[in-house]
Amino acid sequence: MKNRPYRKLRAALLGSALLLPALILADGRVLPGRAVDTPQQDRPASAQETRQTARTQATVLAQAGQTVYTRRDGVTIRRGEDRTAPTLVELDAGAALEVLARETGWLQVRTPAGDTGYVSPLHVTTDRPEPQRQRRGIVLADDLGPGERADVTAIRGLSPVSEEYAADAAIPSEIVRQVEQMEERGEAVTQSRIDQFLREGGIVAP
Amino acid sequence: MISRMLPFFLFLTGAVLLGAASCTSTQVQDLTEFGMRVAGEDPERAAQTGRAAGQVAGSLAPMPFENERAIGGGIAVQSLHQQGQLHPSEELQEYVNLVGKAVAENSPRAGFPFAFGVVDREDVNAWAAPGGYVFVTTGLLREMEDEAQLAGVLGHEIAHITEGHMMSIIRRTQRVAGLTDIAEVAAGRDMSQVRNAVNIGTQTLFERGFDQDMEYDADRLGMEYAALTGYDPQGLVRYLRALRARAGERGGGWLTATHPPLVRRIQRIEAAIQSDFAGIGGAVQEQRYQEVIRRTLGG
Repeated sequence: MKNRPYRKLRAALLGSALLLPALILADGRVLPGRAVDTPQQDRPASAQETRQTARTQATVLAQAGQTVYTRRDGVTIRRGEDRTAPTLVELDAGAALEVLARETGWLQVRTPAGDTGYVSPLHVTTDRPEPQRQRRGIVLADDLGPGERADVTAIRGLSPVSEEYAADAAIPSEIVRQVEQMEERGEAVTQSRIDQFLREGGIVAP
Repeated sequence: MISRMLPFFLFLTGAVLLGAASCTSTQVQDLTEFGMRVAGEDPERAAQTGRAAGQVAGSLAPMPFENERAIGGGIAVQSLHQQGQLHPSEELQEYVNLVGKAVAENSPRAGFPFAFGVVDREDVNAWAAPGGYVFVTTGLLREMEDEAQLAGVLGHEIAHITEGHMMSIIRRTQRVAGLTDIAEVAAGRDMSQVRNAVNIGTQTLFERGFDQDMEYDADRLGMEYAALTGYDPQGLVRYLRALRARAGERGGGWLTATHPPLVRRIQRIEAAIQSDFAGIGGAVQEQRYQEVIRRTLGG
């Protein structure tokens, strides 16, 4: 009788050692009552999911001989150290580049294909980009991998919960209408309109 | 006996915490109950284990965008209600949306629904609500001098959203109060908790402010988004320097009431320019900015 609590604990230990790794591996799918917060599996892949952005925030102070990595998809490697220089190649996130020299505002790099070009330090990091990022005390929808992420492009307009809140808090309907108009204006600004606006203003990405 | 059992309790606590890191809050509840059953000989220790598991999982459970947008929409309508109305000029509203969305497309949230609104108010202020709502006052637009400054200020606000600063503060505050996790509030349409979350949000925006580290992060990232768009990354600090020269330490909003001291912000940004933005220039675009402001706001 004296050893009984000890034996119960040993059984509990064995149980938890077997059960917990299984829970982790199964990501909770075997547990009843797992309320997955978003019906992600029913959503089509969004266009922006293909434009994966590397999550690291470290900007580079790279030196010659170092390896750096592109921070997002579509990073332009140019033939010269100038924003208007022709494009040598566009690389996806995580491509390794060898730094050949550090110029003012530019890095001369060797691409994975062995070509020499120039890239803005803003586009690279000395750390290999992590697929997921850590924020201060919260994990947001966009921290998930592309396959797990909800299709945010399908979410438009004022949320029904926000509308319910506005009614509950007696917010004047004119204010609600203005926020809805604000959302409509945001939606009306298409990528091609943005490109035209930047072009007209002589604003060229590095 | 207790000393012999201690390693098992420690293992059990670690195992529950490890499991919690990959689970939703519902799973944590199951795990907590499981932990309590197996550690039934010591209810107090089991309860501690359960609480710890809940805290870990609460901070790691992903926040669905729908919920962020639901809370953010509430903060957007409430903050606009408190601060005034949108300016009637369609040209001005579209212009700020063009600059803002161009910058947002160079943040980690490219493709997310952002919306920018100019509030007809002479206070110098800008603020953001989760889910993509960004507001800037006519007072702030009148004080700025070029598009690069606007891009820097909007970049700062966009960074508060991309970094989840407000949702983090709401979750932290509600957890301390022992309320249901915010990730579940919007889905469950618990209006009293939505109201509570919106109150925390508006108090953070207009009374308490974000954590200072959050503001410094937003300054740094705002510069980065603006620079990646093609704007001069020094737009933000040029505006802050001019603001300091004009206003000293008066006022609220983007001045002192809810943000770190201007002097310290400027010092931090200058250090970042030295380390991370050395030699990186970009467009200033003063002419277009001045023309739009003159046409829409006069003077």
